[in-house]
Amino acid sequence: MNMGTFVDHHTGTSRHEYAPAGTTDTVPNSMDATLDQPRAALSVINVSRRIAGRDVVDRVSFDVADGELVVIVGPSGCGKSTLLRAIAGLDPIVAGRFVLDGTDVTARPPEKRRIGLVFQDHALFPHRRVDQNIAFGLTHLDRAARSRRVDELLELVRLPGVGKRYPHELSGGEQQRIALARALAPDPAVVLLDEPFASLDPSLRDDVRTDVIEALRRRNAAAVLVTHDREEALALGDRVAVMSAGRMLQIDRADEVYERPTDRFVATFLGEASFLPDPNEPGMALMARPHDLTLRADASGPDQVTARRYLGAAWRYSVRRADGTDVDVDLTGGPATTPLSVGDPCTVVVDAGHPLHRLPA
Amino acid sequence: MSNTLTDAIDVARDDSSSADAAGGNSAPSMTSAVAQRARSWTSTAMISAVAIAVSIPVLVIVWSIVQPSTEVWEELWATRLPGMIRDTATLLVTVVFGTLVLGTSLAWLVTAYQFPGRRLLGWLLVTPLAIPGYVLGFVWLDTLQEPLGARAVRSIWLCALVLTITLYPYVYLFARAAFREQSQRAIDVARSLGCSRSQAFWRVVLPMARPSLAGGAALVGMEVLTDVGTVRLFNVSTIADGVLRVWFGTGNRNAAAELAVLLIGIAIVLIAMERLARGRARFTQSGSRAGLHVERLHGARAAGASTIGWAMFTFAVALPVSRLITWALEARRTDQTATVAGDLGFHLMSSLRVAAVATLTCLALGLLLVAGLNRRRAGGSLLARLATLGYTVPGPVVAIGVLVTLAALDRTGWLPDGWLLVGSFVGLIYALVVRFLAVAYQGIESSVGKVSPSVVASARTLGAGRVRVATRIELPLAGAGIIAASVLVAIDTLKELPITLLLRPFGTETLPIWVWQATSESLWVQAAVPSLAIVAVGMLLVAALLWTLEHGAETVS
Repeated sequence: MNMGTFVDHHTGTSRHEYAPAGTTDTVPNSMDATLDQPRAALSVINVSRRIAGRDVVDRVSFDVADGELVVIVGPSGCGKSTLLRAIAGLDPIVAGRFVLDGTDVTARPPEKRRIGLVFQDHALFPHRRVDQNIAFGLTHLDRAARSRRVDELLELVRLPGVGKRYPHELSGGEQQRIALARALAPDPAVVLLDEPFASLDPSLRDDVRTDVIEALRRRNAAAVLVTHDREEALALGDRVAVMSAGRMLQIDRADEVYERPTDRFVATFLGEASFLPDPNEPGMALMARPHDLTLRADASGPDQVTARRYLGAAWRYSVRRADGTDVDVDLTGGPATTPLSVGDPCTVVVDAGHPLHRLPA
Repeated sequence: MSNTLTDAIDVARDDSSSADAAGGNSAPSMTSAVAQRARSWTSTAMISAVAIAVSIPVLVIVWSIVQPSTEVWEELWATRLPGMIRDTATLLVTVVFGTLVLGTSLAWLVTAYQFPGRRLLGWLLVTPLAIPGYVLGFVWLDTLQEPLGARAVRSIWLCALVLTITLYPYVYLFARAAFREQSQRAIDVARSLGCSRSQAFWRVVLPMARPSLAGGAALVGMEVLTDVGTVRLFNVSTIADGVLRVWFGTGNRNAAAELAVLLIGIAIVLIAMERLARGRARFTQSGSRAGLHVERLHGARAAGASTIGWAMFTFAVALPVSRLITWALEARRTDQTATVAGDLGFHLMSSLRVAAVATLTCLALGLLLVAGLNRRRAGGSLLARLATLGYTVPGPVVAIGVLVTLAALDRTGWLPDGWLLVGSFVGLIYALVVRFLAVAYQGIESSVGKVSPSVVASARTLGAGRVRVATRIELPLAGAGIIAASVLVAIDTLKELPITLLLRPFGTETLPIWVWQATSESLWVQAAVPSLAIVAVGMLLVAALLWTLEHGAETVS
């Protein structure tokens, strides 16, 4: 293909003169990223779960450090919730091990694992008052200690004084915070949260999210949160793990997985991305997020606008390039600029301010 | 419970008036408002009439306590009353406890575990519902008479066991429905918080099923309080039995009525206990219905589970029915064949006629009440409570209340000469409706309540009027529940003994009456034929009930 049509906006130099930084893995394997961290609160080692002959969780490994929040994100049916249930000991696994605080718990039933669980529908016990819900896992404490712990946790989730109410007398967000308090009460080694905010009203979601994450931080609790919402994953996770078809494709800091995905699925799942063949290395591609590219109205330009969509902060154009590839471009021109129309000829320009990330095509 | 049907009608009213106003067409809106008010008045009047008619017999009984016949009470208290109270309490506690244990554990077995025959057993374990206690009772009585001796066999404990076996399906059905509605998530959370599988059952699953279990237990309690056939077989003198004995023995209506008040008192205590236990807590979970995980049993445990289920079925249904068949064949061989054949058709037709008319009447009135009652409006909940009063009142009490009411009506002489309500078919149906209307009403109300308001709203925005919404949307969607409620009423009326015994018109001899007469003479062979007929019709009805329940579950979910 002719890379000459790619002209860097700032330098005017042809794009292919930029060498990729070379810092990214070209093989989907960065799972040992935490090996240099202090002892893990939870280690998942090569775990597989098989249902009806299919590996719904396929040789997954990762660590969670003390106080760390790992968010697992993936499309529905990718095996993320199944993995969570397996960690909790609710479903059997066919291979692999779980190590919790240095102890192998693979063979233990759920009640002997010291794991806290929070579900999307919060699964509060409807027949028990809030304080009784929180105290459910505290059977080893005496009465006074139990009620002290309940008060402490209600304080932690910022709902003091609701102890004598029933779950149905609370709002959805309050119920979710109580579910977290209940999970934290017995001081678990790790807290597992399965789509904890998905059932909440969007207007409420941000507040509850903030409260829940803050409560986890204050307890310095290790946590694994599962979601299908990529923005939630990027915003919350100390590290983000992307799963697809039972495999954990990549686990790393949010900006790393977003900026340097190890494969095309990770790249497109976390956000819009276009791929351009790498002129230097056959079999490799360059990833361009819509904000990495810009667009110039150009009557003799080789490219053509095929669709456009207003996003509020920008116009998003779909452009068919001369070589037949499609790319998405965000244009933040402000009110003064006249938007291009569908069918207009134009020129696509790289405007990333950094080398484009290279990954296997 | 929500009232979707009534809500829809309210919405319909608001809609039409606002539409009229928007069109600026004030004259028609005036007339339509007047017409609607008139319509609403007639429906209120009709519903009030039904509620009052159905509650009067019960209120009459309660009223009788105001002028107690002191000498009868003194005599009763000095002689039989303490024994009656003791026997009733013993039977009540034993049978309620027994059915709770048996019904809950069998329901848990078929809900939580997978083993050979599980699906079939899930259905078969309901079938004891088709065998009345007084039938199972005499089969056992005869079977155990040889080994135990004629005296020992007539014991309150054996009576309790027989009642437990025939009544546990109520608890079983309620428990199974409750377990099916539960979510695995609650168990998962409980386990992550340190509960083993069995601890999770005791601390989470069972408490969450509590209202359903209490509902089933309350039904069982009512049946025990009401029973006259089984207790008579085992010479257990309960209060219900006492009511009948006072009635037939002394003919003192007031004394019988006053004794009946005692039964109402116990029934009210039972229901109050059930309500109190519930408190402010709720028992339904919000969110997704993940359903319980079913654990597959293997080897010895699977065989054990199957054995328990089949043993229960054999014990409660297969053995007694085969015994009945043996007797029926014996009746054929002996010279009783001709009479039996002749009587069977006659009694069967009587039974079917009574059950059919009573069921259809309950169904029609139940639909009317559900469509017309708005419980949120002042008076609405009172009317609903009045209309369903009868079910909290044991059969013999209803019978006597109806008798007193009808006798009073007859005395006013408003009917043509020679016509009397006492001892008429209408009187019998009236009493059965008083007793069983609540079954139909509650079944219809809860199934109509499950129709989503947004479905109704969609239909209305698509231009369907309130009649069309009712017939095209609500009835088909709630249909399974309505049929199930009707079948329950039919089963109840088919087995019904005390009301029919007291109120049957001359010439109406139902199957239970035949059984009652034959067993009180210890003529088991003769009793076998009508018993088999009851069981056969009952089984058909139970099969219909189960089919609609399964079918209904499909359409709802």
